[in-house]
Amino acid sequence: MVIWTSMIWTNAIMCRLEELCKLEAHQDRAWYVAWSPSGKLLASCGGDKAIRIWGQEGDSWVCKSVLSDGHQRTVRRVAWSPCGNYLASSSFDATTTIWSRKGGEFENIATLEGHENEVKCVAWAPNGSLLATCSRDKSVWIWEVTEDEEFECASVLSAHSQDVKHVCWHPSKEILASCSYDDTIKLFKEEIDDWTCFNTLQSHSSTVWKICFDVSGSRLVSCSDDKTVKIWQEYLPGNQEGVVTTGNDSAWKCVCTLSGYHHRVIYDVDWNHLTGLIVTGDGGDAIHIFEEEEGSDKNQPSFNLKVVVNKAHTQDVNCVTWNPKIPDLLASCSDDGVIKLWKYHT
Amino acid sequence: MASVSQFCADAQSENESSSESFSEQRSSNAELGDGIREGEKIGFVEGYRLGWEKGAAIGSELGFYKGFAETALKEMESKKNIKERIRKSLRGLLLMLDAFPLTDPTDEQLFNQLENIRSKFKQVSSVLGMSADYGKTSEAAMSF
Repeated sequence: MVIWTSMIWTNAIMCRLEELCKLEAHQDRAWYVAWSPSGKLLASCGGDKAIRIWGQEGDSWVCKSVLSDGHQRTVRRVAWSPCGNYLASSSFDATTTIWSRKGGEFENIATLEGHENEVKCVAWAPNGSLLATCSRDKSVWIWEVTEDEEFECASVLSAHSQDVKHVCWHPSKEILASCSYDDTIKLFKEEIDDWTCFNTLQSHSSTVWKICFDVSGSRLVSCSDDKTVKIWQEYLPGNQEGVVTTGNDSAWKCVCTLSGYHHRVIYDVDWNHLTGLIVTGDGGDAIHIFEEEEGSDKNQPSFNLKVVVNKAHTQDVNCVTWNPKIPDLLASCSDDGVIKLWKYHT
Repeated sequence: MASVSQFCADAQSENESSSESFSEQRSSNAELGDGIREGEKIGFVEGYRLGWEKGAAIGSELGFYKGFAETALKEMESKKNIKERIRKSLRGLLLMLDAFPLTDPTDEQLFNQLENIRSKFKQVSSVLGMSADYGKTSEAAMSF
């Protein structure tokens, strides 16, 4: 026990998370924050139906614009297009709104309808030509972005048996991953005529809240209501390890489970594409940061806890996200309506 | 069905093994058998009705999709400004409808396929710019 305590203490001395600033962002829950691809702007959304755009002026972060007329209910998620010129927002009002940034002003250019109820997440594919949305109606929709800024539904996927919480795209291939209240993660790809689910990842014993690929796309991290974080490894057909695959599709295996660190449901996890650090936000108001042990085996990797901030917020931490350009800059937001920016020191 | 006849057989074997000399018991056993047979008949009628209703509902829903897709494609034949995605999604819907195991209710994939067809119709509604409720209201109007 003494040894364990001192280890954590040593870690805490070596690595720490410094609170850079605190923004009173939303009058209700702050649900999500998203960095623009350049890392210079931060978009946030919340229970007050508003989307706010934040930028740095001198040393402080200020609200640059408020988009408040897009949705009738809670805005659950915001996502920047890879080019940074569009912002998509999904809402409990069953719609997804596309905003175009022209000359610094955001203009509502399209409203995507079709989901029967709350849209939980929206995500742009890395090449910007596809958009995915998912909803409490258990379906995942894929939209194609045409040259004249129109959005056509390319597919409706009913693979999950419950509320779909999150969708995210593979960083380089046209593969979509989704996770759900049905405890599974599903992978989709386009076949000759339509999109299909080609893999279901099962291991979590409760709702999977969030998934995130690493920079290579050969690993996936997931976090769950079962208080664990899991690392999944892709095994290509004909892999050396002898993991069985079907046809041309890869197999995905859970190779690591981080348990015992979180005491409440884990709502968000983000894999830093510059440093490889994994950050989580949970229902116990805490933020944890994990680092893979140097030289760890990819088939059974070890991850060490580097930092834990127990009272990062006064309520549930809904979102944690690494800046895409500045490796040690982290943003988080919470049910307390606040956004915090953090600097990670090693 | 199997469990009911099993139950009958049990009742009969019990009948043989127990003493048949008591007339009360004999008549009680006979009535048990009658009751089971009567129950089977009523259950069959009830199940038949439920199956008929479910089958009719699925058939009418699929028929609606087929009629819709075929008519829409026909109407679009002569038009040139129709987006390829619309035609493609309608053709995709028809392919799925043709592949549906209409005559085999024991097919394990039946409900999966039905769910996929419903999803495809949602996509068709979306690309045509129709309200997603369109199909539902029409179904309700057509229900028996």
